[in-house]
Amino acid sequence: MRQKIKKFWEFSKYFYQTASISQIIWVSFTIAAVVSMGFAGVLLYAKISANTEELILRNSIQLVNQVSLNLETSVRNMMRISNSMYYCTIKNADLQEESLDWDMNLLYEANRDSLVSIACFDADGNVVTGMPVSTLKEGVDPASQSWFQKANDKIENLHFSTPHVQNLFLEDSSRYSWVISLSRTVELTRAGETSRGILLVDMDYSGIEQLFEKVNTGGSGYTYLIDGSGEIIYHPRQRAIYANLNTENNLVAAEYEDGNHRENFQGEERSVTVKTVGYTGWKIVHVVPTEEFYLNLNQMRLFVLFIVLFTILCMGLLNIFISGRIATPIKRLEAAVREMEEGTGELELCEEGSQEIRHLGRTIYSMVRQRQKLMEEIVVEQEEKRKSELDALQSQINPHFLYNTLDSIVWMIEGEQYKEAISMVTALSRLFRISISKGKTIITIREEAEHARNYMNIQKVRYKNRFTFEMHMEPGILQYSTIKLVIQPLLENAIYYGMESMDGDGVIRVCGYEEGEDIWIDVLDNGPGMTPEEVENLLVDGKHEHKKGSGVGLVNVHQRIRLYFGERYGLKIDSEPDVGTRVRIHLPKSFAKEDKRP
Amino acid sequence: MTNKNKAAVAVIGGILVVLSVLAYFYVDLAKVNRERVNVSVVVYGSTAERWTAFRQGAEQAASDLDATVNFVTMEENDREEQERLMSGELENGAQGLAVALADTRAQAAEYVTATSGAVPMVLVESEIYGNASLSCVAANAYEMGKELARQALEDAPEDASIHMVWMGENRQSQKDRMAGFKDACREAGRQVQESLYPNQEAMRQVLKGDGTYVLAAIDDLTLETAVNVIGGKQENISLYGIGSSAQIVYALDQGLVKGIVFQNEFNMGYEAVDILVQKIRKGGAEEPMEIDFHHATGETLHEPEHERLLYPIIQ
Repeated sequence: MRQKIKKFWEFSKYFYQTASISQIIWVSFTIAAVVSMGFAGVLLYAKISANTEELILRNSIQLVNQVSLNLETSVRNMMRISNSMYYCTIKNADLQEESLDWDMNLLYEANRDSLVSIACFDADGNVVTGMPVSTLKEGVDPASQSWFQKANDKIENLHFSTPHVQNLFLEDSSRYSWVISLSRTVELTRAGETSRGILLVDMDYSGIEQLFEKVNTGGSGYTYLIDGSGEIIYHPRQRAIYANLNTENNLVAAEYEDGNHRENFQGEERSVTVKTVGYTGWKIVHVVPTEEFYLNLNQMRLFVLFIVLFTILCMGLLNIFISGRIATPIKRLEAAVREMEEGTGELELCEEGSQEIRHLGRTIYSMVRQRQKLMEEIVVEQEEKRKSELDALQSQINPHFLYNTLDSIVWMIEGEQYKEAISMVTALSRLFRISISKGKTIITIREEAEHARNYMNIQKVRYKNRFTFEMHMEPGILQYSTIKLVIQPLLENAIYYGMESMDGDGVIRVCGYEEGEDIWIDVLDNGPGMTPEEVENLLVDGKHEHKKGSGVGLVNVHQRIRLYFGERYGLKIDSEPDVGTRVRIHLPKSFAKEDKRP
Repeated sequence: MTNKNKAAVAVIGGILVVLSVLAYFYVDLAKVNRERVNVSVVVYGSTAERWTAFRQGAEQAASDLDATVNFVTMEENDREEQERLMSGELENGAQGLAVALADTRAQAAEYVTATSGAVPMVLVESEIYGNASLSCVAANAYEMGKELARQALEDAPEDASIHMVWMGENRQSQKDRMAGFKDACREAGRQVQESLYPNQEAMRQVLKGDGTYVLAAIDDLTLETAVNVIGGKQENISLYGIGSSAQIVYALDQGLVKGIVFQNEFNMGYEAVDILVQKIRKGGAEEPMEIDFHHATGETLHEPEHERLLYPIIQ
């Protein structure tokens, strides 16, 4: 179990970490709705079921009480008749002198709706008087009948029989009556002598039947009547029970105290309400099969389930809309921020969603704008700085070079070498033109190579062909860009440090070629070369001194290339004493970007 | 709204619609709807009084089984009239018939045999001669006849002339009862005369002699006729019979009839309608249902179990 809870917890955490905001809102709201509605549904069902059961039981008690009241009224009426007959007539009459007929007839006529007969018998069962007839059927012995014997056995009590067909008096037709006999012992006086007699009041059973029929029409359950020993007096299915088509739990019900009981009869759960009728010991039994109110409860359960499901689904639907309304602006904002981070989009001002989200959008928008502005300012500033540095580096052209070149031109003119002078001035002019490059920092390799060639033309004149110069550039690389003045300073160094001691056998070569995405331009000379220590210090700023030349040294070129193209580019130097030096310019394959001076 | 959300809305919307439809029909679904069945009971005999207990049983079954029962008695008590009544009941919408045939000879019962193929039908008290395919609810007629003989012979003087009387109706149950009666007499070594009395006058002519008679009436009608013919208690005539009509019970109570054998009419009515309704609802044939029978004398008539069967409480 703990494992499962832990697993569930982990899953929840994972879900909350990976799900979108709309999913989290929807799931959270829906879980809350399901739990609350489920809880409400269970409570509602429990309350309704308790109320239903209570209501049914209360109705049962009410019904039984009502029936009991009506039945007691009938019973009391019968007892009143019996009492009247006994105490007002029989007890005061001497049968030797007077008859009971008149009084009995009066009483019978007054109650004939509920009476079948009323009769008085002596101790041997002979009729003293009887209404409406007093002639006994042939062969009938009242003394052998149970109502007579019971009254005789317990003389203080009134006795109520179970329903039976009256079988005492001669009838002139096939009409018969089901009766309930109320019998009691009475004291008969004859010529001053008292003797025991039995007074019988036969109550019409149909009165009881009608009373119970009224409460057994429809509704839940049914009501029946038993005597103290469980014998059925009335049952709505009495004939079926008599015909053994039905059975009833009457013998067990006779043992029940008044109140509600639960019983299981023939596999059926039933709620039984019992009420004892006064004077008689009869019991009214109201039976409700629990299936009947469970059927109602089942319907109610289904109904509650419908409502709960309906509400949950409606809330689920609502949650989708609400989560969408909340999350969509946030998601759009997040997407815009992400695009902006990736540099693929522009942040737009968020004008949807709730007031908080709009405020958040405006704030982020404002922050991003400010950041962009700052970035642009930084970029411009950096660019300015870079250009300033380049300018500063490029401006380090040795004035001696200019002075010497002009001096050479003067010397050529004086020596009437006009053609050479023109050539030199032209070369110098080109040199300066490329140096200036309309203010551009970046030129093509073609231009840089031409610049280097012009420079070498000038220097070859000056150094009277003390060395030879070769340049071989692969045509494919000429279109790519480089910062200007990268080859010329290397050539200058090669001349000053490599060729001074040469006497016509010096060689300076420039080779340009490509390797993958890189361009290499090698400047080689066969001068005296350098030791590894010297090479090591060569590209470290401030660790060497330049003796002569333009002043734009190796460090200058190296720093400019790295400043512009990045740290992986720049110069590489291979040198060996007495063999020569190779300086390699490493550039990327790139095309010139707009680079105007302000 | 994303596509995922649109799909979720569509699914939830669909479920809501289904739930709404279910809720709309919920009341009907929750009800235990058992279709009410209309059945008719057509019985022989010109009075309904003979069938009081039977009718109560039929109505009790109808009430228990959500059925409506229409009870029909005849005026002339002949085959044609009964066929007319059955046909009329079917035309009036009866979905099944329980029939106590006036005449159970095969030829006479052709209508019933033919109709039973199309309409669920249950025979009451008597089968059709030689055709046991139709469900029949009846007591064991042969045993009833034997029981009647045992009663009649119990106190019959040696010189008494034993007459088994009937009024010439043609029902299988009468034949079986007579067979049982005769067999029981033969087993007891007593001669029995089978006497057909088509009317009261014929019966009166026979009984006006001075001899001692033991009369055993085979059915209600014959027993009631015999009671009417005899009129009052006669020392030389002991009357027994099969039947339980109010007139017969009254005669038994008065001592005019010495003993009766009677079938449990309430059960017969109940079972007949029960089987019929089951046939209508579920189809198929039912096994013949045997009903219990009892015997009573003037002394035992008011025993509670006899009172309950012979004096119907009108519920």
